Amino acid sequence: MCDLRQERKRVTRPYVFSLQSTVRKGVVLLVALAAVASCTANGPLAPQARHSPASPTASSSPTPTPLESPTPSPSPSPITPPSPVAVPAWAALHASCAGSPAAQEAVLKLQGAANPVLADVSNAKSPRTVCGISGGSFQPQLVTQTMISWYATQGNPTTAATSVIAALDLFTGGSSVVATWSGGSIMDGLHAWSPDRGFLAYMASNASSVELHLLSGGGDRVVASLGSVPGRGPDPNQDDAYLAFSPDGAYFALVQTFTSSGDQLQVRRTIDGSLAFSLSKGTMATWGSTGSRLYYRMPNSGLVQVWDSKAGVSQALAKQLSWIRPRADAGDDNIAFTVRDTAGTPHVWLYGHGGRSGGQLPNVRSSPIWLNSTELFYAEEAVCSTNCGIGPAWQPDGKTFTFDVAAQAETASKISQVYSAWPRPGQV
Amino acid sequence: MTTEAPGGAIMAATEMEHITSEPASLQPVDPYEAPAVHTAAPPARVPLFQTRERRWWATALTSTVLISALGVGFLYIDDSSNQASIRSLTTQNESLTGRNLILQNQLDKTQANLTATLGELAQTKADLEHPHVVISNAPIKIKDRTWYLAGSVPDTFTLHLQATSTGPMSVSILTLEQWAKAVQCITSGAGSANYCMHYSGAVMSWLSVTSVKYDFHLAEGCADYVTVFTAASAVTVTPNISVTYNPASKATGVCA
Repeated sequence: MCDLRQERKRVTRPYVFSLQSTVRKGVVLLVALAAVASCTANGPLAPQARHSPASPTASSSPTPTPLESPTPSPSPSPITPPSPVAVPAWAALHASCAGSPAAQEAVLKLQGAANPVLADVSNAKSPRTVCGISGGSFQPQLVTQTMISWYATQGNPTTAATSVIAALDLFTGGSSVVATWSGGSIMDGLHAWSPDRGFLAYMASNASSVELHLLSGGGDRVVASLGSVPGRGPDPNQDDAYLAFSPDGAYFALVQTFTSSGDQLQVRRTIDGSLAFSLSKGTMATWGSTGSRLYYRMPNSGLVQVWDSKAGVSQALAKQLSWIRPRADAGDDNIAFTVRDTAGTPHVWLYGHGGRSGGQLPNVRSSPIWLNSTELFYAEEAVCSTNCGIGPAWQPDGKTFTFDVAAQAETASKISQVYSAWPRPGQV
Repeated sequence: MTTEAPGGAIMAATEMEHITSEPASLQPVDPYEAPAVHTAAPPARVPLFQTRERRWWATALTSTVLISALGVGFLYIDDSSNQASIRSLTTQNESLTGRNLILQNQLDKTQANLTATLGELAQTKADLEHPHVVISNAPIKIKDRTWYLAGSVPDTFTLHLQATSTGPMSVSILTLEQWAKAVQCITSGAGSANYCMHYSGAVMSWLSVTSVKYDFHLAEGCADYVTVFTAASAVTVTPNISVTYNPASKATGVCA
């Protein structure tokens, strides 16, 4: 009892009554997820995990604990949802579907289109539109096969205002607010769903503070508080903000280089939000395709390391590569990433099966993202000469491609931008 | 404390004779008979003794009067002298009181001056401990996106970064490491100065602004910072950059 009480004090808003905000947020999450997903093939999107109400405080001490004892995955716990909270008009997205859910999907924007769509990307060379998505200019991500979530705010870096994460079932049209807070600064609204959709981790950022929240059926808790983000120009080759759950759902990682204080790399246990591993410096991270292996590198360094919950920390790549925004595929153990030379010329690389396959792909390409287990999407870059504006010498020229890893072939794509793909690692 | 024995200062009772007899009864008085007048001739001579006595009396009286007059005279003179002294002393007292007031007034003024001087001294001491110096205030032109203005932030000083421009400018505070990367970015062709100086890592940036005003404290204990100004097109930057000596007690910023 004593421990529970102490831990409850760390809850963001330590209220225990059903009408108060933390519980309400949790309830809202359940409602939203259940409401928007209750008619989908994935079943109710209610949090399937019940965990201890423990809420660890933020740890700024770089005390790595590289070896993790086996952590039990969160156990399912069905919860009865109350009524959902409507998405405000300024934050709303709407969907119009003409097809049915597909086995491989992505939310993407086609060349020349103004709005994103949900597309069947089983064959990435010729994506087939399933649903049209309209509304504000948000960046939706796929939570499940049928549901998207997105972040919207009325705030800005200097003035905090209402921020929301909302969810929409593309096929039923049901939408709901999942979380609400006051924010609008850098990294505000960055969020990630656990593979089983039972947990949502998100960032709440305003001019004075940055907080990492963990939302579940147990409520909304602040699991880490970081220093505010000073205004500065981000270095696209070094700065990154990455928040994601491990494919096995046991951990979630926040790796960012923007806050003025706090550990840049934090791996936390999903079950209670406690710190499992941290480093004061770290950037450009990604979980592997399976298990709980987090790849990362130090800022301004080409040394890529991997933290494994069972094996600890080791060097991942034999070659020193200052990789940029690595992304793992869902299940086949490939990581794609960009490397720029000193002149800024980008190339896409593949790191497959623990280094047994992969290498640099041809042509000047950047920003790879997996559309399915064998095909990835990337953009061509060209020297912009006098038309660079406020930007580097090499910039995307509008041409995009898909690359088939199995066929080792590149195909021009009619996709202009990919926001998210399903299934994600851990969802296959 | 002791108590004096009773009777020590009290007279012993003395028996008094009391008249207890009845007064004699009043008797009629006999009529007065005037004595027979005897006419006798005056003496021919006054006795010597009586004359000499009178003279003595007169002399004594005269002497007494004279002595008294002299005494009164002396007293008068003395009183006059005393009165004059009193008047003189009163005058002196009044004069001294006036001078005292003047001196008090002067003292008050001096005290006020001293207080003001001490305040100025404290301010001067503070200024000497934390001197404030303007290090850049001349307008400078940035011709295009390949140009940049840079200046180091002196160690142990607070930087008061203030500037305006005639068009959008970008201002960043970089570490020397970031500065080196930015220069490499430019020289390798990865970007223009207007890009590389702000997107190769920065401590703080103000991008595409026409004014900036900020107090930067991380150099108070660190010699590792530079300020950089760039613009996408021609602008004139009017800086008003100053520094205040304010050494930190320990290393700050990236030096910590």
